[in-house]
Amino acid sequence: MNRRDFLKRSSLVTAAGMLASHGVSLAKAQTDQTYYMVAFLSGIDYWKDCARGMMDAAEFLGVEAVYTGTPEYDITAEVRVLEETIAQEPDGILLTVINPEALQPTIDSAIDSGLPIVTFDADSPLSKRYSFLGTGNYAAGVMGARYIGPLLSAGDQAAVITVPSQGNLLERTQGFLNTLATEYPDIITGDSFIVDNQNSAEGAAMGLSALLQVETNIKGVFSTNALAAIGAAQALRENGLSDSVAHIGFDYDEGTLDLIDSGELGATLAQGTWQMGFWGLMFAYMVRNEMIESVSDWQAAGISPLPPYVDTGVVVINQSNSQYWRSAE
Amino acid sequence: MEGTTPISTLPAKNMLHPQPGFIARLLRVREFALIVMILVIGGGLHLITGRFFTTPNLNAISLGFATSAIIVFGMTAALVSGGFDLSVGSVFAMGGVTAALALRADIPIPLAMLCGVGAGVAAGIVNGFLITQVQINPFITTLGMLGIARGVSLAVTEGSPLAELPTEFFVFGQGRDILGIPNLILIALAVILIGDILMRRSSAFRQIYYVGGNEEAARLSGINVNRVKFGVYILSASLAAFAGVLSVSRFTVADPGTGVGEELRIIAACIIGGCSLRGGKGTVIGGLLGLIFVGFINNGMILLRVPVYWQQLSMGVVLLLAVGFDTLSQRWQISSRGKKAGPATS
Amino acid sequence: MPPLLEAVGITKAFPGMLALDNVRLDLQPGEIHAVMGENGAGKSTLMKILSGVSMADTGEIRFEGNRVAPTTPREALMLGIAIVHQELSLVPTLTVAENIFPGRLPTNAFGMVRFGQLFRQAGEVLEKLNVAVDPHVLVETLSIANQQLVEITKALSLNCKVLILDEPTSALTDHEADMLLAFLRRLAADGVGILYISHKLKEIFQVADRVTVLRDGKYVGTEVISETTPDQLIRMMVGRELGDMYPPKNQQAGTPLFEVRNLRLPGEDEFNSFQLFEGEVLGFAGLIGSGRSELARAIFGAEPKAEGEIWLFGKPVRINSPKDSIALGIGYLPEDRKAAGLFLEMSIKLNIEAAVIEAVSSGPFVAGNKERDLARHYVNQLNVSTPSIEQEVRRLSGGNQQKTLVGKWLAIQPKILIVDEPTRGIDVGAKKEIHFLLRALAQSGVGVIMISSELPEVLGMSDRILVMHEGAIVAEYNAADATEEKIIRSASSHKGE
Repeated sequence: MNRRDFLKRSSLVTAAGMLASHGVSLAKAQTDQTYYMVAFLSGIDYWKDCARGMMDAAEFLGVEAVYTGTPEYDITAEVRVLEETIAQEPDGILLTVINPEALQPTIDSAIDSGLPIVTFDADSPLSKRYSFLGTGNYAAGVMGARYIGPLLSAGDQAAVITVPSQGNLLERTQGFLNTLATEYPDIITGDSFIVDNQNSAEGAAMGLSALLQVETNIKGVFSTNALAAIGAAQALRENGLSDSVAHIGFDYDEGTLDLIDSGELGATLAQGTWQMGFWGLMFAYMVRNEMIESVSDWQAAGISPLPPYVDTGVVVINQSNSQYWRSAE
Repeated sequence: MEGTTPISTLPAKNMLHPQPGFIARLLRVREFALIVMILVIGGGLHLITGRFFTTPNLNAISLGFATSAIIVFGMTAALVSGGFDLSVGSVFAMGGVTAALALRADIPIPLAMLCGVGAGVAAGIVNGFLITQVQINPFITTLGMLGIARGVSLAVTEGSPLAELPTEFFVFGQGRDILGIPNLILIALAVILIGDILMRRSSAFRQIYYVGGNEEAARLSGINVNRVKFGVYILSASLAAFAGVLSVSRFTVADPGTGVGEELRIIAACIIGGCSLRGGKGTVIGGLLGLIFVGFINNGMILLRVPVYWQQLSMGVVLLLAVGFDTLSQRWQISSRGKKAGPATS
Repeated sequence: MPPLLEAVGITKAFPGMLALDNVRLDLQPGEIHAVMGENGAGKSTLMKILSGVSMADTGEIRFEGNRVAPTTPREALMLGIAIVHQELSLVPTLTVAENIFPGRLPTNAFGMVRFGQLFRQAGEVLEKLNVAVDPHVLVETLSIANQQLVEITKALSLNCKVLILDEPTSALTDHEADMLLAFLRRLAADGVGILYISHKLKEIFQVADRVTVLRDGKYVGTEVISETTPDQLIRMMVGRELGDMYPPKNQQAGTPLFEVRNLRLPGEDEFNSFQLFEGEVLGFAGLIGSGRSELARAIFGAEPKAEGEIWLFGKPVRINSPKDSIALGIGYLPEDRKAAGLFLEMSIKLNIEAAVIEAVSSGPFVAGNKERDLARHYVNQLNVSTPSIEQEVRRLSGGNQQKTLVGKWLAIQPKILIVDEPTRGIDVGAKKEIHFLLRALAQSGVGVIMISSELPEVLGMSDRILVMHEGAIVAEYNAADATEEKIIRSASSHKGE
């Protein structure tokens, strides 16, 4: 989606929130409630703003919020942490899903026992979770294409740095490539211009450097995650191409923001991570405290009490606004 | 030599120290000390949080290490033989992937599971061959297999997990057919019990202890050392693959990237449970207790809301403390036997 | 003149036992003073106290007339008391020079080692002591004898006045031992006092001036060598007459029990053949490196053979592995019991059943009662002193370890038993027990092949003696004809000379 739609949507949601705080009574709110956020790769920078959003909502609602998860990228570990968290009988769980099928049984049995679960950033779409808050990855890819497209001339090449096997990144890649194909058909790109960064900055640097030796007319690069952006920027720098190649990245860790400020990275697409955490907790809280009256009895009606999908969107960060994403410390 | 009269002409002597009392011996039994520590940790956590000894929590913990328990049997055998198997994490993934491929090719479930285990057997044969015939040391051999098995899993699946498996297959990993206890836990328990009995009492498995205790002496005692080692590595890889198949049955998806770092976790559990890296010592039950110990600590970190950044630090510290304590107590035992450790060599 | 080193009233107790009970010892400058006693007598403990490794509970140590109490080996070294243990403490992968001066390497202002100076200093020390070893070579390339000399040089380079040696010749050939003893005599002539622990009576009578005997932690007495006899020393050590160390021998029976024909090892040229008769103890003599152990291992199947046949009870048999030998009833007690014979960290019980696991099993499982019966049977029969069959073998004394190993091989019900250095490193009392045991075995019909480097033992035990030299059997003697001189001559020369 473009900026305008995104702003429209977020303002709608904000209004709804304001209504909620004034219109619907908080009489039933409990102050001894605890909500958990369960993540995998729990130590990485990316989830910080998600957690911050959740904590901000918790403060507003007067409940307790705990950030937990497994530092590993391992299904068994995340399932274990999820199950152990459920055993603590929390009031709600915000979950990011390492593998949709693997986590589905656990999610379903928790929902059946009355525990509200919303997913964020990575979903288990076939499970019974009440809502998923995340980035429209395809739309993000479209945005990336519409940034790069105007900056290139006919006959220039565009490369994509990504992890080919990861679902969400695949969607971004497809959004990017399809949009270039339809809206900027003179730009040369395609599957042969996809670089696998193997989930590391070093992999991105090695891969793009190798591609640059073979394809000599690359003038635009789209990195689908933060590590890809850092590595790709490195490769461009080492090949002396920082000024002549347009580069748009994804996410906004400190390293990426530094690259933007220094001019090596033209722009990055920032996901609505804080929104995921904030609205995720708001959603879970509303369900837990029986404030959802969309129909007289949603449970008996067999419907979800919440919007099943919320696109928290992406926005473009460039040199002019990068300061606002710097963390407060 | 029945009926031969005693030879000695001298009174019995030359004992270096008296046998300690029963309690002292019991305390020295590694498993006993571990059980005590586990109960203390569990009790402490329950007192603090009130949520430890609940069925869902204990279930979560046990399911968390059920597949690891199956691998512990094989790893114990490898460690006792004087070696170790670094490839179990990758073979775990490869076994699951192989079974999933077989299932998607409409091969009947029992046969597909056998295919998964078969991948492990193949890996074990390669390991065993390289270690016994080509004589590459186990560290390098199984490290190589770690890469090969992982590579095979990733290549064959092109990195993506395999889903769309028949639902009948999930009964092993998800079913709760007996008394509501998850089948997976029952299977793991069965493997552990059988494994422990075999290691303790089977004459064939006894040979592993001899090989690990003194390989040359074992050879001269008529034990076919190469055959024992071969068998050990086949056992270890097969069990790892079997665990991988069960893991797929539990999560309904075969992830080629699963099991990374598993080998180190399992070796740590076995060592906490009493295996010696030099070989010749260790029990399967001890390895299970090591897993339980680590599982309780992991759970404790969730219950006590230890920030995620500290979790890996805590694991490392715990491992060093547990093994360090054991090493020191063993040294204390030897030295308190008396400085006469000298004459024991002449 | 006060003694160089004097210990009076030394007592040391460990939990459950009294290691030393009011022991005394004195050493004069320039004296070689032997210390003897059976295993467990307290010799090592006393030496450890003198050299600062342990501390006595009561008693006094005086060095050159002054009271001293070294609490660490370093303090003892500072005083001038150095000890060379049985296990050498050299680093095999470093040079001789680095081993002589560990922790005292000459360095420049930056802390870097000045190798030129190091090698020079090492060379000077070696030359002063007349040790013909190159300071540049790596220790692992040296023979054991030379390694021992390097170890001693290390001790002496600290200008020690008292040198304590613990079984220094146990791993040396006779010739190398002689060289070492000559070296010690030179040191003594320079005024160094030497304390010398040894089991070897012959050496002690060769080189020592006085000898102190300990028994069961108590001081028995000190004798001047020229005024005493080996028998008297043995009596002091053991507390009673030992009588003959060797049992009476057998008349040779007629039928060959076991025969080796034309055995050749891979890469060697020699063919060896011999017979073993029923009821006899066949001794194999020779210098270290003469190939006796290699031959035995090839017969047993532990090493491959290039050619040759083995005949048992008049029929040829195939032996390709130790398993084959054991199945035929042939046992082999290896030379190095710790490295190749025993499972040190396992119990006596597990050691004894190691070669006969099937015999103590019912079906696929080991039967606890059968295991225990087997182990107890041999522990009793061989008089292995231990409170329990579950005792870890590494905690036993050398003699009991060897007996356990013998028990393991008796458990296979052997028809032939090859023993390689059966009494190395064990005390006099246990030696005698093993000798009698071997003879009793032979008399009961088991063929015994005994490899030994102790000539008195070879002569005392064997009915026939085969001598090997550089991989070939070069001579055969009947017990009646054999003398030490003849054996040594055969062992040192080539076939036919």
